[in-house]
Amino acid sequence: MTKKREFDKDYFLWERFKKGDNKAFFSIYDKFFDTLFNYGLHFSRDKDLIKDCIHDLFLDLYKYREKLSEIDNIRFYLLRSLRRLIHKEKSRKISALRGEQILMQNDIPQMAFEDNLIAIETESENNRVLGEVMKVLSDRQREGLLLKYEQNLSYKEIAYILGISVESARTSVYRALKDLRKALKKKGFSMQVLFIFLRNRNLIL
Amino acid sequence: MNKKQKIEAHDILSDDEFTEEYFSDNTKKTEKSDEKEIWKARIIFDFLNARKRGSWPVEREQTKKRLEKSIQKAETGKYLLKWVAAVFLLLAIFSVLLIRNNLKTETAIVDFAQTIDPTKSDSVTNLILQDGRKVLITEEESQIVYDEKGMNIVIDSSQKVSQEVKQKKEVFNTLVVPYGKRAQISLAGGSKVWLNSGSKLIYPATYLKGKREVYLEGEAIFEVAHSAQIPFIVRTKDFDIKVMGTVFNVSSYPEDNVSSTVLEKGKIELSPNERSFLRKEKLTILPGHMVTFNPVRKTFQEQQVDTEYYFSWRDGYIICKGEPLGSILRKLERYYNVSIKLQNAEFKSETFSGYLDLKNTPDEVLKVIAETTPFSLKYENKNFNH
Repeated sequence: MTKKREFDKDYFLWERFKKGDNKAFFSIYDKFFDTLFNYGLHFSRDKDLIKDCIHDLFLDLYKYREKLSEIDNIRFYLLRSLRRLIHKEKSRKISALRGEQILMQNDIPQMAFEDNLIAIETESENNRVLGEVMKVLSDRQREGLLLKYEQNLSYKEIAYILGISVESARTSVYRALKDLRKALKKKGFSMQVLFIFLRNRNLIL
Repeated sequence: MNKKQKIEAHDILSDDEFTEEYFSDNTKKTEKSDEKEIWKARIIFDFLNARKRGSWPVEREQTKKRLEKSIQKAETGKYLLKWVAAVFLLLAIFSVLLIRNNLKTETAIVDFAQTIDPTKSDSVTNLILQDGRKVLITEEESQIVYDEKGMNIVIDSSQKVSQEVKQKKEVFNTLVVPYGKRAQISLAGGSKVWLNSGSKLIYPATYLKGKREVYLEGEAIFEVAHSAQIPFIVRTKDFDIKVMGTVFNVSSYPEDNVSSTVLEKGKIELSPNERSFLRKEKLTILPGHMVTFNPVRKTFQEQQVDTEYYFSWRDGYIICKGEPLGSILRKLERYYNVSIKLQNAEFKSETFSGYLDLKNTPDEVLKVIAETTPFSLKYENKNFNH
């Protein structure tokens, strides 16, 4: 329900922006900057590169606003665009490096979970365990999880971004979740927290 | 999923309908839900969702400022482009208007002039009224006066002619003066025109508001009543003359190679009929100047002259100063409606200076010329031969 209402709000914002409302344009910017920045961090630890890409993304939006099609999910549209821009920017940088023969580096993985960020998240035992699993998941699985749970995208949208079928997207996410759950089961998870949680639930009930 | 009978954490999370609300909304849970699995799902979800919460206000503002600058730059470029486009569009429209204007110099009066029979066979002055009536004037020198509305016309202070004139509608009268005759006409607007022999003047029968326009073939002197708002336009076969109020002579005979105008007083503006697109010539001339139009090259030539020579015919004499004999004889032919032939064509370019009284008979005038030259005159029927 809230998701639907949120979509409607976004839709009107987008329509206003397309009609030339600059306020709507910057509302979209303000609303999605953090999301986009966080999303970008999954691909690169170079914050300047992410800022550049977000800048270019919005400048293009502004320039071509009249030609933009009607979209039903701004978030999906922006994420997809940013992802494309970052990949373009990264491959440009890599080829520049190659040209100069400075670095004979392997391809930068599509999803590079930064160690420092993972460190923040592994404050609890559970998170540490889950973090370990994340490291062994495939790029596609990691990104699928991210798009599904961080960005609230549908399988259809995920499939579109990853360039795979909806069924593959679904399977990919499902298997990743299964692995994560298994890890929790194997290592056991903090029953103490579960107890608190159950108590809270009882209170609600 | 159902075969397991038990819904596990990954089943909860991977569901299409799953949202964060699942954890707070109990209606979504079924009896199959296991508290333990829900809790696992919650842990996994929180882990996966953790990074979403990062906030980057500094980065956001930095990038926003940069974006605003970029947009401004893009807009300026766009406006510049729009301006350039607008200027081009205006130029295009202007050009089209200019071309159309050039192609459409013909006006009602010019159209009307072309319907008039060009023959000058009549031996008397003809006043053709709006309804087609012809008033014949036998006098050699006639005077025609229109009243303010153009309804009543007085000819030589004695004959009175009336015509019906409807306001707002453009109707024309024509005055045809054959060779050997002259006429003076006072138009409804108060302007006066002296028509020389062999001339035709088409003019509006009534004084129309906002328009003073006549068509001339032949020679005439105009004394235009001053009106700063409404220019008086004289149209000829070669050029148009725009005036505010002035005295000038126009000579535009069909048989003459060149048309000309001489300004005595005031200021007039000339423009050729066939205007070329690239050079829209407009020539403003000042008193004491004569402009000759070369119909072949479509150009104007301006020179300072003694205006007296060009206005003297109105008062019944010709003043010549270094004028070729051919030109003088042509004037006399028209004035008296006679044919004068030079047996030796070489004399055509011989120049003469002097004063010829047109009140005398043609042979008397020619005698004056012959006195100063070794010419002899021969009179044959109505023809004079040197």
